[in-house]
Amino acid sequence: MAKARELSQSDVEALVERSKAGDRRAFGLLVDEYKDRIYNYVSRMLNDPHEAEDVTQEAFLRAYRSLPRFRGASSFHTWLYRIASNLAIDVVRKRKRSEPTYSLDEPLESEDGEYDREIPDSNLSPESRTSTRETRLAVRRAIMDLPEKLRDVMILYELQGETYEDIAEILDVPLGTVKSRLFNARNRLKGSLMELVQAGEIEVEQ
Amino acid sequence: MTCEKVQSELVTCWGSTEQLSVTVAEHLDGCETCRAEALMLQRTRLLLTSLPEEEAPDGFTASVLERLEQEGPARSWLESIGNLVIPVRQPQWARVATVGLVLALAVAGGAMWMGQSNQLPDEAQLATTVPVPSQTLMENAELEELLRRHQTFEVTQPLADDMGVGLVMYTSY
Repeated sequence: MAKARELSQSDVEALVERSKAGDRRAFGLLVDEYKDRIYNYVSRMLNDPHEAEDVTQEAFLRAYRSLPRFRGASSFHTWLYRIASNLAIDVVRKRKRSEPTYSLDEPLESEDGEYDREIPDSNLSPESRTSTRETRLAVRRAIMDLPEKLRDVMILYELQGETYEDIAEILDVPLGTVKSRLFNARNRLKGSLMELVQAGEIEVEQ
Repeated sequence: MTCEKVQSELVTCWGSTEQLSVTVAEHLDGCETCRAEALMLQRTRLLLTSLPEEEAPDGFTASVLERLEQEGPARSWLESIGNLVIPVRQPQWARVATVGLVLALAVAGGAMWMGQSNQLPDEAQLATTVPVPSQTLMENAELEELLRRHQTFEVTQPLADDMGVGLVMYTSY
């Protein structure tokens, strides 16, 4: 679960007001308070630490610039999550657009002629099959394989500990949509992870 | 109760058998398939929650503040209005340029109107442009008031919510 909040709600509200007035030290305290939660979320969404850092930074910068528009209709933390979520989804979509598509059977062409594609074997080596590291990698991969809408809800609920209501606000979707996406995400994740467990590729630590 | 319904409830409670209704619990006692399903869900949950927390890199806050510092000191009034008019996704120059353009158009419009104020406008003009009072000559105070209202920006509530696009109504009279 995400780190427990250290500042009280009224502390956060006071810091938001001071930040709105241009007090960057106050904003620095807000960054300190939320950086790990937002980074953890973005990192799970993107599975790339460098991109996660950039996106998290951008989320805070945008939050600062948009503070004049923040009227407190939602809590500061859901508002911040929402900015981060939009940015993370943008990155996911850009990745999709820039990923080249090609047939695995089609040979590669080069100046020296054609040659077969060499696809790295994603099966884990016997030595590392049961290691914690490999298990975690497999879980991360399974999360990444979820469509982004399901992934978002899954991470926010299961790993960030957000409530259904907060997630609905963060993603701007009805409560029922949050629940159905979570249901589908769990089912899909169960399907892909249990295949690996049954194949003996990963272990469940009891 | 059908296996399908039981398995659906199991997904909702992540395979936990503690929160299940008596009917579902009874079904599980006699159904090996659904018991296996519950176990798989519990294992999936365990795997998921075994992921460690990831923390922002050292010096994260300092670099955010540094980037804010590089962006310059406090917001100018033009930028503040720009933030309200243009979605924050747009670069700062675009927000400032847009507000500047709107203001320039407002001033130009006002100047043109003043230049034409001694001519009687036709009905089409009256419908689409600044309505002109029937008198061709106005008191200075009236003119000042009209110009003031002509250049007023009405900043309304955001369209959707705090993340929504700010809407600026340009009022013309």
